[in-house]
Amino acid sequence: MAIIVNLDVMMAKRKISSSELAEKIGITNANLSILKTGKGKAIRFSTLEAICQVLDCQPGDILEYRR
Amino acid sequence: MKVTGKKSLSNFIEICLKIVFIIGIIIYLTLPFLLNQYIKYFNPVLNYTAALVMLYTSGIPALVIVWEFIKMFGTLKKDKPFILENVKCLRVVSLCSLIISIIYIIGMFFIVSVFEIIAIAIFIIAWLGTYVLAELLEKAIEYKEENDLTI
Repeated sequence: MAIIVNLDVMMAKRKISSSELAEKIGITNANLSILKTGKGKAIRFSTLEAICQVLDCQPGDILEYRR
Repeated sequence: MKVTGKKSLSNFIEICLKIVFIIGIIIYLTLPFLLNQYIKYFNPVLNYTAALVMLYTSGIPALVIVWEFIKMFGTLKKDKPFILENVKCLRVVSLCSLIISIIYIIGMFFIVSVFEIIAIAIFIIAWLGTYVLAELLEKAIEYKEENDLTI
């Protein structure tokens, strides 16, 4: 998989738990888990926006492209 | 009125199908007797052996079709119709319809009646229709999975 979700790193930096983040973004724990484990196929802009807002970061801090 | 889920239209249809299935089995088991009565009172010129063989061979796929529909309506009751098992069910229904229409086409050589031609037409349409529906459902499942994994 070329695009890697680095949500764990950013969450650790901001010292926020999964359930807290899920609640603040407004998605379920199960969906956040899908996103974190890289099982997700796509991410909505609205979700990405919410994550960036809550974690106070840029999309590039969460998503990474690896060859 | 609710269409899917508990106490809904699909639930009602499932119950009807179960009754049809039971009646179908009873008819299938008592076929020689029933056919005798039918020939005696309604249609004395009917070829008994040919009719019996035709009904026995087409009876099994017909019951399978009803059974597959019961399974499919069961998944509607649970509100989870977008599963690959339903695609398989539709494919089986499609195949059974084809088998029945072939049996009836062969039967045309022994028994000629308007009902037979109608039955052949219906089952050929059912064969092609359910085949397309199965493909459609498979595509729908693909899209649903994609949608479920979009966070």
